[in-house]
Amino acid sequence: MDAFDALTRRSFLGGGVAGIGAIAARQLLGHLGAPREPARDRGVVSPRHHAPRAKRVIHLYMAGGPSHLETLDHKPKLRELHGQPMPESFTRGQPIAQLQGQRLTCLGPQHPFARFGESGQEICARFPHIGSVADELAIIRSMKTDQINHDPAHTLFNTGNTNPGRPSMGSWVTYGLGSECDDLPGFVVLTSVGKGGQAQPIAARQWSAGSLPSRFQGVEFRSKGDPVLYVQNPAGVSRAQQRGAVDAIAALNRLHDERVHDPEIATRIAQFEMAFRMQSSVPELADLGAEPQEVLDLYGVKGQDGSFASNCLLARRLAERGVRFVQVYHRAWDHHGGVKRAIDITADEVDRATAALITDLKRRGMLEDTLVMWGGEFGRTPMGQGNGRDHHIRGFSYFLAGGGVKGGVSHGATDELGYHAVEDVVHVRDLHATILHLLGIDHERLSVPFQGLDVRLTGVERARAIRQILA
Amino acid sequence: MPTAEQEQQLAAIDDEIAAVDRVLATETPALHAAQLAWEQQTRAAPPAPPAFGVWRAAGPFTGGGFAEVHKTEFGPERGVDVDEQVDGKPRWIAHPEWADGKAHKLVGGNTAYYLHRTVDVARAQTGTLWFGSDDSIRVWVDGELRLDKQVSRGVAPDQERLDVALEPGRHELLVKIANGSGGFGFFFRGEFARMPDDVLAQLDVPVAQRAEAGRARVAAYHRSITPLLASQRKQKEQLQQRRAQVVDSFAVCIATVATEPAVTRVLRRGDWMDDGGEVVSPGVPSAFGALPDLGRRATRLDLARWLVQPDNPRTARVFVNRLWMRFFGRGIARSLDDFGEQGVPPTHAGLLEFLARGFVDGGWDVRAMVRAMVTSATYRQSSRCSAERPSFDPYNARFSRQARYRHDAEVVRDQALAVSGLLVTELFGRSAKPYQPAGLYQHLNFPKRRYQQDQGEMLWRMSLYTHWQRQYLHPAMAAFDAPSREECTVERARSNTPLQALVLLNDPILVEAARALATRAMREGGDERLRWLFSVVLQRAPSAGELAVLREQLAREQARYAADLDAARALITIGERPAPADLDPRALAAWTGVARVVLSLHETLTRS
Repeated sequence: MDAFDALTRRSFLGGGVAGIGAIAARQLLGHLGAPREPARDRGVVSPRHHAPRAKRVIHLYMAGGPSHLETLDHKPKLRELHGQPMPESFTRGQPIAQLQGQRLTCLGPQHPFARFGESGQEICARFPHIGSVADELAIIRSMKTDQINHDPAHTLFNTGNTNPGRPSMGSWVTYGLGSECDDLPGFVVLTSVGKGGQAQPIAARQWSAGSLPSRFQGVEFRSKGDPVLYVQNPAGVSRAQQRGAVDAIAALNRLHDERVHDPEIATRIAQFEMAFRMQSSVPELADLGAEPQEVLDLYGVKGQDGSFASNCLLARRLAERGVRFVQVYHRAWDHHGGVKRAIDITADEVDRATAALITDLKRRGMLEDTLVMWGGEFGRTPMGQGNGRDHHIRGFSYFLAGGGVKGGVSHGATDELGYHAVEDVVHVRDLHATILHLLGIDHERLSVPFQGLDVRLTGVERARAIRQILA
Repeated sequence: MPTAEQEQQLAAIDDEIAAVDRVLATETPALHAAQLAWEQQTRAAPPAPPAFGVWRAAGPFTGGGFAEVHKTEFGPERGVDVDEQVDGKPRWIAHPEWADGKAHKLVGGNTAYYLHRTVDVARAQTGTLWFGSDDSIRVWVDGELRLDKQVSRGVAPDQERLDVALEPGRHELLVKIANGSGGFGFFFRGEFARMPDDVLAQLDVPVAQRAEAGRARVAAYHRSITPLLASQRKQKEQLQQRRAQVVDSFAVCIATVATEPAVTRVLRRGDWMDDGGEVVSPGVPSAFGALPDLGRRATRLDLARWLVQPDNPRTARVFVNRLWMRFFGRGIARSLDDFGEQGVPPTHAGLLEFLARGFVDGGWDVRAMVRAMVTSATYRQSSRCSAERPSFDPYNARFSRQARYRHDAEVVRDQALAVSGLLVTELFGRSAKPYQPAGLYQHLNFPKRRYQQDQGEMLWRMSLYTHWQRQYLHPAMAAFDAPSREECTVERARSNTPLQALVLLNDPILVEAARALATRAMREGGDERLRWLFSVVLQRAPSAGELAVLREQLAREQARYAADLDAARALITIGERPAPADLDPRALAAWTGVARVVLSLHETLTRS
């Protein structure tokens, strides 16, 4: 094989979007070794723009829009005004979803709040486990988004843009940083459904690579049964036979490559190798029986049953194996009616497992370089919708933990009724800038040309990492 | 537009209807006797449709979710006391404004209302209650649950039908309407037999004194209700249904009628409520020039003419560029869907211009353009990269060789089915639902759906006919970059991922195709089965080296299945096509193991 072939093959194996400099650098590395090395992306941000604090992200995505008023944002004044008309000074001219044209009445917090930890952070008492890790959390109480319906709000939260077609943040991160894992994708998505609200659907578009190459798209692992489709051998085919078949395919592909010199063949061989490894790594990943009983109890998991708790444990196992970005969607928070009871139900599904994940990561020494994010696409109105709450975009809450974030701090605030974020307002794009910053990426320097623009996760409007919560 | 056959069918049905009509119009002594008895009875007790009391409503009752509010029993199920007080206020509020036959609005999300009214009946009778609801509905008559439907919809007249038989006396009608989100409301009307006033008036006239017209009117009305003719009326109804079915099956010619075009304004800042923007008329973006000045408002036909007028080169450029992509793997201009400032300039602008000009001058003859492309020296080049001059044109920017790229998702599957003899090439007809992993639709909602796999020939139809569930397309299709169909896709991605390898190795349709291909090799391959199998897939003979790899693969598989007949049987029974009974299962399984390899080769997946 001559130099050119080795060079292109190397660039396909290693770089993906390698520039001339990278190709030259790799040329120095010499001839490619044994072809059983699977494809691994090293990312375009190499070296990092600055020293990273986090290596990976676990995003606990509370889909449907959790009420900040029954989770992280305590508003005693709202309780005082319970049942009275919502002051018009708050709502005049504001976009409103289903409550449009209806009488707007204050609905006081439906659950009490308490102070937790040494930091004394105020969290809804219905979430005592999350409270127990309060000293690890940076709670942002001044989030703001632009979109009042689920799908566009998810699109904005994931891609920084309301229009579908842009890369999602997990794709950006794996594109920027590459993968640390030979036998699993770099960006994995898990979903579960709760019982406390309307289960709004989530479109696979939410983890699309958009204008980035398709290999950066999130791979949805099914939360029950085989996490990856077609991961089991056909009946009657043993693992040794599958190995033999993959080897025979590789041998024939290599013979073909000698004649036609197609760099794509090396990628094909590597991807079959990766697939073969996934056939054992994926079932092994999903085998929660391998966890000690004490860990299962910590999360409150019975087995791999598709629950949020089981997905949290899977997320830790994915992070452990080097997966860069894990999104755990819990479709449960669209509490238009009966928010009191719905929070009871959803807290039971979410509280213990969320705290368990943070605790588990911490005792394994992984929390320091794993960023955990918790929150939804928007919040909910201080006004009641019957005894529920409508969608709300002018103020809501989020928390971050680990990965270079200060613990036990609160950032920003809404007004006294929890309507508008008024202090240290954090737009979704500021959160995006923060995530990238923690990973060692300057959000203004990670872009791809698309439709004549240098497209960035944070878009063209001013975005700033939240310095105050960085450790 | 009926066909001749349909016209004949209609004529036959019309004849039958006429025959029944004749029976229905003919007076007989038996009918006359029955009429007299009926008249006597009716005079003694004239018909009295039920009297409905005023609607009363209780609510709102709210809960955590739509299903919950629909199912939860909030109390009225166990009996209604219209004078009940809650916190010193009446529970039931009268709504005299809720007239029958109209939709009425309720307010709330995840909320239910109960509606109650009395029904007073003087004479036993049957009738129909019609309901509409947004969203779900339950109906109790005298405490008995008669209708229970949890649906999400907007309210419309007559969405639900409830037939009732009411005895004389007072009855209680209770309706529960529950709403998830969005609009909320209900509709009600009752349908009971009532006698036309003119017939009623005639009954008071003694039979002997009735005028001819009145006599005929009463007799005709009686025939329309008498049990003696019930079977004929039923027959006529069925005939009319059959006639309607035939008429419905006509091919329909759809035409729209031109109306005065709406005034179109620029929506300032995209605000559709703002009607103060500048009034605009039909035209083309100014970057493309302008429509010819016709002295009148331009129409769609003007736009169509402008698109193809000979001095407008853009349409032809875009079209030949896409055609070029079909044969050379990429466009002369790489951005197929954007010839504007955000697109990529053509690598061979002169060539693009030459082809576009030729296309227009040749009368937009697609066939001639295809012929020109595929007979060109550029098309007939090898796709091999020159080993001697590797650094020459590494990205094939100059079309110095033919393109090689992975087949589209549909072609990957269809090719495997075709070489194995499974492919069903029948055109037209409904979409097919092939094998698909269970539970794929679990995160679909509004409404929830279940995947019902097809049987038989439908399983092996061309992939073009595979059912598309938007966003939830077949996972094997998705793995090979088929689009989710949320937006128009001119050019698909061509990725190379481990998921593709998993599909090729493990998807049941490909395992079944491998087995069918192995069956063919065993039957048709003669003494050169390996050579036959390889060349039927790749359209070339294998090299000695390739044969050696295949021989080794075959030997490995043979050794394995010689020792395990159950495993062999398990492999060859994947898929619904029965395994041939006359072939040795061990041998067939081993050959299937070879076919799987050949179907998974890079060369198999690649157009080159």
